[in-house]
Amino acid sequence: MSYNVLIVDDSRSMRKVIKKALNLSGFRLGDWWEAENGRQALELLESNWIDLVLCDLHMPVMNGKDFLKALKSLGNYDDLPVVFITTESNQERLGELMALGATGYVRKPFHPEEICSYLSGIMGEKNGNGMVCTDEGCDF
Amino acid sequence: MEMEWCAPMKGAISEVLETMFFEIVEFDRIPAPFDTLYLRSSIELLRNDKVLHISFLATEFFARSLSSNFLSKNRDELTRDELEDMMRELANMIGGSFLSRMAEQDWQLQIPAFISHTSTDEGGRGALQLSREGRRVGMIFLQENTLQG
Repeated sequence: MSYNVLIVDDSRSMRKVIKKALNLSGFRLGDWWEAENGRQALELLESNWIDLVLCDLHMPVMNGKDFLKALKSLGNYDDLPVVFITTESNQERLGELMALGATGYVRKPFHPEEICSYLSGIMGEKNGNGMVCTDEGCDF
Repeated sequence: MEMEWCAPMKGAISEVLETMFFEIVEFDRIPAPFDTLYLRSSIELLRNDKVLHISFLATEFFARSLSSNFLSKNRDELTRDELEDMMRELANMIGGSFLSRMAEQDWQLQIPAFISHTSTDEGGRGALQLSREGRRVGMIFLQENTLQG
């Protein structure tokens, strides 16, 4: 089974690197979409089947936290995993995201194999390299 | 402030460059300003009325090397947009990694910015020089200011 992924980040380079990391690490990537901010992401979700959202936190127009709030308020996406890929390290702010319904977070910078291991775990697959992550996130 | 930021900043730069850009650099304190043209990106960290301003400067040669590694793309095929985007993302990751190493965790990261070619004129205060294989390739400046009411 492959997964359709939406990558939300205001950096085009980072979106490309995340996609490359997924491909390199063996994550079963199906179709993918890219959005520059939360608002674009919400529009893409309306018209596409997406299995996993990988989202930056600090973005112009609509940041990751506001995107998550808006997404959860719609009521149709309770089962959609939203993982933040972020430079944020403040545990209180990361805790707020988890309380709002984020599935987890991965801290930038990251290694491709580590992101795959974490995401595969979230998608209910066997953790390929035996890496141990907490329920909430991974600090690489 | 000047002394205590150096170790976490070196750690942040090394972590980011080695993990995502496959580059290793050495560090020196800068005794005096110098006149090479740089690409420059910056990010601010806010905490109450304090602003911590981090500027990352790289020679165009080094910026192209970093972008080439980051995007797996030939250095001569990189566009100006890709260089600027990489510089912003680099400032973002260095700022985040630096913040995670500081004692006070309640600084808030802002959105990074790119500033076009610049000549350094800020002197050696609060600066680290980055070298690769003996060549000067970049600098980091850090300034702390107070927001005006």
